[in-house]
This record gives sequence, C-alpha cells and structure tokens, in this order.
Amino acid sequence: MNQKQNFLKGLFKENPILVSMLGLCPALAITDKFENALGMGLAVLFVLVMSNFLISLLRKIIPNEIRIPVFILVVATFVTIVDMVMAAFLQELHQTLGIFIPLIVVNCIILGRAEAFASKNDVVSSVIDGVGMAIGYTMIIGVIAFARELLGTGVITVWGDLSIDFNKIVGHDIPYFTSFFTSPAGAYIVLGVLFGIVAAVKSKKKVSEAK
Amino acid sequence: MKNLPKPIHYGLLLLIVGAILGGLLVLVNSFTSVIIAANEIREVEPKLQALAPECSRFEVATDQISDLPDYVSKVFFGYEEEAVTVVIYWTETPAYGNLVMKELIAIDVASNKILNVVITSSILTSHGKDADFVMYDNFFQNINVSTYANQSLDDYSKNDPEIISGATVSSLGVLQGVIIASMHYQNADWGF
Repeated sequence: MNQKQNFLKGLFKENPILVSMLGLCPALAITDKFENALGMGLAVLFVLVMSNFLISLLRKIIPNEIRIPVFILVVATFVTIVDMVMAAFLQELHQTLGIFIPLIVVNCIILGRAEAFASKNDVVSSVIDGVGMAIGYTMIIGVIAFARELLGTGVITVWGDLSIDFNKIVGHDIPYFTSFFTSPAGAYIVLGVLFGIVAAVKSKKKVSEAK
Repeated sequence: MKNLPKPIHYGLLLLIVGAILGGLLVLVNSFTSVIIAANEIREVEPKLQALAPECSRFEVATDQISDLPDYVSKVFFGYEEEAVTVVIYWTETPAYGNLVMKELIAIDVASNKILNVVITSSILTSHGKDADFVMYDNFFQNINVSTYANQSLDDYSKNDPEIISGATVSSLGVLQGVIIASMHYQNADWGF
C-alpha cells in the first residue's frame, strides 16, 4: 500500500464511522452544531496523529506484554494536553464539548489505530494513517452536524462570528426547519440515512462487479 | 535492562514512559494554567467587582489553600494596592431539583464581616426564574462570619428559610455555602 492509499483509506474504504462504526458516541452527541463537530474533529486529529507518531516511535522498545498500558498512557497524555489547551484558548468550545474531550481517551478509533497500525508500521506511515483517519472522522461528523444544524435551525455557525442564516437568505422563517434534528433522535436519523447511503453504494458496486 | 527480571523490566519501562509523558504535561500545564486562571477570573470578574468595588484586582487563590472544604470550588483574593482586603469563596452546593447552586461569598478581611453573597448560576428555582432576580437583596450583608461559622444547616432546615423567594431547598443551598465559607474563613490561618 502506497502512502496515497494509506491516507485515502481513512476517508472512504476504512472510514472509522461509516465502515468501522467506531467513535459513534461523540458522533451522535456533539453534532448538534457544525462548530462542535469541527472542534471535536480537530481534537481527534491532534490526539490520533500524535499518539500514532509516538507509539510508532516506541514500537521497538515496548514489549508486547505492556503495550496496552503504554498506549493508554500516551493517548491519555495527548487528550489531557488537548483538554488543557482548549480550556485555555477555546473556552466556549471546551465548555460545549465538555466530557466528550476527556472521553477521547476511550475512543476506539485512537486505540484501534494504535494497536492495528502504529504499533506495526513506521513513523511516516503511522502519521499519514492518523491524518487520514482523523480527516475521515471529521468529515463524517461534519456532514452529520451540517445536516442536523441546517434542518434543525436553518443556521450554520462556525465559532459564532461566521454564520450562514438560511432563514435570512430566503427572507422569512422556513417552516420545515424543526428542532427535532438537533435532538438526539435527529442524530440517529441522520446517521441512519448516511449508513443507508453507504450500504446502497456498496450494494450497487457489488452488482456492477458481479456483472 | 533486558537482563532484569521481566516484572522489574516492564515496571521500569512504564515508569520511564510515564515520567517522560508527565514532564510533557507539566510543560504544557505551565503555560496553559496561567491562561485558564485568567479566563476563570474574567468569567466572574464583573460579579467580583460588584461584590468588592474597592479592590483594584482579583487573583485565584485556590492553590494557596491546603484544606479546601468540600463544595468550595475556588477562592479569590481581592487586592487594594498590594494588600489582600477581601476573601471571596465560590461554592457549589446542592439546590432544588438536583441542580447545583453556585454562589460567591465575599468576606471583608478587616472586619470579618460578609460583604455580600451573589448567586452566579441561573434557573435554580422551582419557578424556573433566574435566582439573581428573586434572592432577597443584601440578606447576608454586614453579618459577622462567626454568626454562620458556628451553625449547622439543620438549625435552619426546620425553619423554612426564605433567602430566595419561594425556593426553600435552594435557600438551604445558599445557606450551606455561606456556612461552609464562614467556617473555613474563621478557622484558616491566613497570614495577612
């Protein structure tokens, strides 16, 4: 597998949410706003890239028997760093994401990539794998959040200052915007639709391959 | 190191990795903690200023207190020139409907009297109103801390206290914060 394929697999073929179905709790819980999804995506990107980097670097000196405690130490350190930096510089986002930042420690995507990839591959490949997986994750939670916020409020906000109000663009409150989509049930519906689309694409591909 | 027995070898490795990562955390904490403390002050500064208008600046002093009681989340010092003149407790006590009552209790160092108490969290009462609007003004003003330091919450719970209009449980939450702060203030060795 070349580095391009290594990067792209996280976006589509092995997407952590749509294919591996990992990290679904934050994907459902914090996607009521587009800016929350971006913030969460950035946090996961930092933790995933840094932990993949360090675990790959240490892979030859860490015995197999204690690899999991070392992975947890590494991941927990980077999650704590993200938590502290966010509390210092992105206070509002830090309060909104709340418990889901410390919970990145137990996010299966991070430990999964550490165990399945970084502990067996070189540093460059591991970093590229981390970037690809994190972008794939951010892309999907971004899509979920975009759909939920748009359908739920008619407004897309990116850290308060930059916002697109579709009600203003149309000139009146659009009646079909419903707060249902910003509720947890709305998250399940949007995620279900995405899973449905992926299943449909896969099935179409299978049929065309069979022909 | 590989000649060592396995448990010791593994333990040492974990210790080394933990120490390196701990050092990294200390490094990041050394610059973020200053900013976080400043953010915390900024969040409540207007209320701190309203409680102690004579103070020119406020500092988070929580780290300087070794025996921080339960329910006290932070302690601030208010300064006039370079002297600490006001100690402000930020307490978080149980309120109505499993909510948390957050309040600032300002104590004047010179007179040992409560300057005032301000509720910093909202939507605490059974009416769903902001508690700031329904708490009786200046209920605790100019009362000596010893009045509350020697009390227990049970002394008040029988008498249905009405510190917040129509909210007995939340009123007890306010009282609990004042009692805890008064008790700690009276017993602490401040050194100023």
